[in-house]
Amino acid sequence: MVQKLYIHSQEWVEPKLVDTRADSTVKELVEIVIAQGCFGGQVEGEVLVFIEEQEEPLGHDQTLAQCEIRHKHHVHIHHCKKVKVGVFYNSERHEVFAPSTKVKRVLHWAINAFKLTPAEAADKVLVLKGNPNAELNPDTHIGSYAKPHQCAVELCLVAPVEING
Amino acid sequence: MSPDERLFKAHLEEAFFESGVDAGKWGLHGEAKDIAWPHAVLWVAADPQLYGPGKIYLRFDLTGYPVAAPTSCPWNVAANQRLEDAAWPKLTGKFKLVFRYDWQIKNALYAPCDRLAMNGHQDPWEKQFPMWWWQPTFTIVKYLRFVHLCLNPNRL
Repeated sequence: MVQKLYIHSQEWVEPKLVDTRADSTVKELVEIVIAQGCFGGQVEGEVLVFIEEQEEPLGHDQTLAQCEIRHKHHVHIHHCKKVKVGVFYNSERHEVFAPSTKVKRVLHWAINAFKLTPAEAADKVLVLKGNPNAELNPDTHIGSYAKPHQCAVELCLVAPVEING
Repeated sequence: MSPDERLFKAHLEEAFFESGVDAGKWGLHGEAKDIAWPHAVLWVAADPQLYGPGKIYLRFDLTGYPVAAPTSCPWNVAANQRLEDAAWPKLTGKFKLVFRYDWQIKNALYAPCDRLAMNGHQDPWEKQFPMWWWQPTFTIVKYLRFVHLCLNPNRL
């Protein structure tokens, strides 16, 4: 029976729905998503597969069912086992996350790291340090923003200006 | 079926829309086959501490989508009419004006991704909100995500 999975990668910041089967192996999943361009080009280095918000990569010989990956679960494909995240606000803080960590969790970590009050925290968003015009979707994965081969990303914690006339 | 309707319905089947549906963040009210183009009613989840009903229905006018920005009005789906003023969300903070109804247009969100509100606000909104100022490359999810952000402030 076909099951659809949301696949995230560096190339696919917004996830893509990919058809798989419960008895597919992780290795077969990797072959499918590489063929569909999840790395955008030539595949270099180890390919790691993570369940969303899970710290450890999956073994490639396991089936999706054995990994408890079910219909419409979110999975991340990445070369890095960890991503070093730097966040700038009034100073700089660093933490290490699995690539499959949702941006929402990184945002909550940053809010706590900078000791923001609830009022200060309410409307904060994360943006890329080099591209302040695009907020990071809280449901995307932090690994999707990591620079290739660097396993790192630099972000800024900002608040939009007030909407007025 | 017109190109704008065909593209909108195609976007409803894309992962970027479906993942929000699966996460309980937004969805289409009714079925895609029942859409009376150019109008479609969608809902967006809201923090119940901020907006008691826990979700808001928006009736969109999607004429010219996505080259033209969508516009939407809070909607009473039971009565099939504009949501009464008293039932609109009452926000505080940076987004407090998004659900205002005290301006000349009373049936649109005061938002940089809303077609009616964008009229006359290019300066300064386009520079202030480049992430939300509507572009033809955007999809309906950009609008829904903005509304979701307004209605779901970060909680510590």
